[in-house]
Amino acid sequence: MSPVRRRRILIEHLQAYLFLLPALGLIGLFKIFPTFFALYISLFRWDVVQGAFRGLDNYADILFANPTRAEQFWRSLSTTFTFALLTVPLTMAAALTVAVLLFKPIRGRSFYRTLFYLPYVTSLVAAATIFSYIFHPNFGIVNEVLGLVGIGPQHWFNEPHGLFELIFSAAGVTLPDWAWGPSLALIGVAIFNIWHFFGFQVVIFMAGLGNISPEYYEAARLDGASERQIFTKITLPLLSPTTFFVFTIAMIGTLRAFESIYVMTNGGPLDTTRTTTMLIFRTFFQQTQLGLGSAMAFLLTLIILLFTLIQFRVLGRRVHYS
Amino acid sequence: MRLKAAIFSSILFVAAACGGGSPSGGGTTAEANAIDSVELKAPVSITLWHALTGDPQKSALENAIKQFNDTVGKERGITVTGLVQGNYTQLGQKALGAIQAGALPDLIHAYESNVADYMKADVVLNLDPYVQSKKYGLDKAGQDDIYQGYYDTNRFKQFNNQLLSWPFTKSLAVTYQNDDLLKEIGKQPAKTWEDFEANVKALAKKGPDGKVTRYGWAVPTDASYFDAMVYSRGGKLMADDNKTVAWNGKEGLDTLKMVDRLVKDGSAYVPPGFTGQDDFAASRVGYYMSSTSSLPFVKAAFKTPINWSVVNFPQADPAKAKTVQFGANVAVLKTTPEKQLASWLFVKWFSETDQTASWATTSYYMPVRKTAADKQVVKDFWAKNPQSKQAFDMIGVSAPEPNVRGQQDIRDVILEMMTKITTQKATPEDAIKVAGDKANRILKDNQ
Repeated sequence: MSPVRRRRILIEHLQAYLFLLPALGLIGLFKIFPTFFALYISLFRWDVVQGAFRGLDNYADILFANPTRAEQFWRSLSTTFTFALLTVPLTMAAALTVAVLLFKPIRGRSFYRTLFYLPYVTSLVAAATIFSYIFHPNFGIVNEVLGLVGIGPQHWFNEPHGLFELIFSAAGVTLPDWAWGPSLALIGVAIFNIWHFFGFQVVIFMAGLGNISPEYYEAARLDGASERQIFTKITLPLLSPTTFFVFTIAMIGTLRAFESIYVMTNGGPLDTTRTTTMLIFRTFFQQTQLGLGSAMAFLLTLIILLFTLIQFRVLGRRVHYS
Repeated sequence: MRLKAAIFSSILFVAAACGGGSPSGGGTTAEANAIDSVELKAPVSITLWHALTGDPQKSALENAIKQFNDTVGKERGITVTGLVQGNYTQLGQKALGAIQAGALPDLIHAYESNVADYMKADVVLNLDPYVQSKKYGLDKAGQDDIYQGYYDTNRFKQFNNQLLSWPFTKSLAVTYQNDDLLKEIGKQPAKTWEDFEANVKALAKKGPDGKVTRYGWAVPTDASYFDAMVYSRGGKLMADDNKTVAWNGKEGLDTLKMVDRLVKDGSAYVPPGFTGQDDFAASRVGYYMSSTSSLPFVKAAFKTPINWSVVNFPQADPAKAKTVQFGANVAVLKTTPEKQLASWLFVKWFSETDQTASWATTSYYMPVRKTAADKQVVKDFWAKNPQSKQAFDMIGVSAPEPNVRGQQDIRDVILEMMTKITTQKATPEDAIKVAGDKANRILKDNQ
C-alpha cells in the first residue's frame, strides 16, 4: 500500500474515532465510570463514607453469610422473577394479538395504533396514581366490576395475601405457605406494567409484521392454507426475530422494574412486592449501606446477564432470520 | 478557602477544648466568641437545597428568599439561592452523591434521619455556638420564644447532644374530623379512645346491598401515626437509655387491638396512597389522620364545602396531651467561616417572628415561634382558615419521634406490624412481640 493511501486511511480512521468521541465521552462519563465506581464501592464497608476494605464479604453477606440479608435478597429475587413471569408472557401475548389485528386493513387503524401507544408515553408516576384510584379497595371501579360477577371487594395494593391463598380460603381450604402464590398487590402492579408497556410491544410487533413479505401469504393462500395455518406456519416463525427481541428487552426491563412498584406499593405490603431493585434502593438510600447496595446491584446485573445469555442459547436457535 | 476553613475549625476545636459548656447544649462560650470574630467583608453567595416541589410551599419559600436577599442580604452582602432537588427522597439521594463528590450546598433541608446520615461524613455544623454568639446569635427571649420541641428534635443525643439542624418546615400529626357527619350520628368529638372507637363504629354505614358506603376511620399505617397513638395513650417510644424501644408495651398493644377490632368489623379501612384525603373530602370517611401540611391539599379536595376540624388524637390524660411533631429542618453544612455565618444569618432571619408568621400563612407550615400568634397577618389568616389555628394550638403538646440511628429501619418495622394487623396476618400480641424484638435488634446493631 502506498504511503499516501495509508495516510488517507489513517486520517479516515481518525475522523471516525473523532466522530465517536463525544458519544464515547458521554457514555464513559455517565455509564461506564459509574459502573466501575459502583464495583469499587461494593468492595468496601461504605456507610455514607468509605470504610474498611471488605473484598467479597459484601457479596458473601448478601448470598449466604448474613442470614437476614441473604433471606431478604433471595426473597426479593423470587419476587422479581414471579413479577417477570406474571408480566412478560401476558404483555407479549396481548401485544401480538393486537398487532396482528391492527395489521389488517381495518378502519381507524391509525387511531387504534395511537390509542394503544398512549399508555407508554403517559407519565408512569401519574398513571400509577390513577391506578391507585381505579384499584381503590372500597371505592375503585375494578372492585365495582368484580362485584357484578359476585366477587367481593379486594384490597389490591394493600393485600399481602397470595392469590391462591385468597381463592382457596374463600372455599374454606387452607393452603401451605409455599402454595399461596403471588400477592394480590404484586398482581396489581403487574397489571399496571402490562397496561403501560404493551403499546410499545404492539409497535415493535407491527414493524416485525411489516418485514414479512406478502408473497409468502399469497403463496400459502393459493395452496389452500387456513388463516390459523398461515399464522402458525408463516407469521410466527418469520416473526421470531422480533419476538425474540421483544422477549429479551421485556425480560431485562421487568427484572429491572422500579418506578411503578415504588409509586404503587413502595415494596409493601409486608415486602410482597419488594423486588431486587426495590431492595437495592432501600439498602443504598434508606439504610445508606452503599457497599452492600452496590454489591446487590452487581449481583442483579450478573443474574440478568446470565439469564439473557441462557435466552440467547436456548431461544436463539429457534429464531428464523429468513 | 480550605485553609481558612481548617484554621477556623482548629480555633473552634481548641476553643472547645478550653471553654466551659453552655447551659443549652453542645456549644461553648469560647466557640461562640470565635464566631463573633468572623466578619463578612466580601459578598457571600450561599445555596439552599430543598424539597419543596409544589405550591403553595415552593412559592412561599422563593418569596421568602427574595425578601431576605432584598433586605438583610443586601445589607450584609449575602445572596441566597434556593434550589429544588426533587422530593425528600431525591434530595437525600443527591446529598449522598454530593458527599461522595465533596460538592455539598451550604444549607440543606433534611429530616433528622438524614442529618444523622450526613453526620457520618462529619459535614454538618453544630449550631449551638451560633445560637450563643453575642454578635450573631439569639438572646434569651428569642431562644425561649422558639418551641422547646423544636430544639429537642434538632438536638442529637448520639452526637454529643449537638444542635445539628434548625426548625424549618414543621407540621404535626393530627386528626381531620368531619363535623357534619358527627352531627348526623349525634355524637360529640371524641375525648378518649373509647369515645373514638364508638364514633368510628357509628360513622360506618352500609348500603342496602350490604356494601360499606362510608367508613368511620381511614387507618394510617405509617409509623408516625402509631407513634402518635402511643404518645396519646401516655406511652413512650424509647426507653430512657435509648437502647431499646418502648412502644411495644401496653399503649402500643392497645393501639393495635383497637385497629384490629375496627378493621375486622368493617368500620375502618386502609386507604391506598393519598386517596384518604379525597375520601375525607367526599365525606366517605369520618376521621382521617394526616399531617397539618396536608391542610391545603385537603381543602383543595372538597367538591362541596363541609364543616370540618383539625383535632388532636384522643388522649388518655388530657392534662398531658401529646402528639407527634412532624416536618423537616434545615442543616448548615461545613464550608468556610463566612459561608457558615451567612447560612446561619439566613436561618436565624427565617425563624424570626415576622418571617415565621408570614411563612405560616403562605406555606401552611407551623410557625416556629410562640409570638407568631400575636401577628395580625396570622390572626387574619386564622380567621379565614380556622383549622390552621386549631393546628397551631397543638404545637405546644407536640413531641418529636426518636432521631437515633436505625430509626428509619424501625419505621419500616412498625409499618410491617401495622400492615399485619390491617390485613389480619397476625394477632396484635404476636405482631407487637415480633416487631419489638426486631426493632431492638436494629438498635443493637446500630450502637
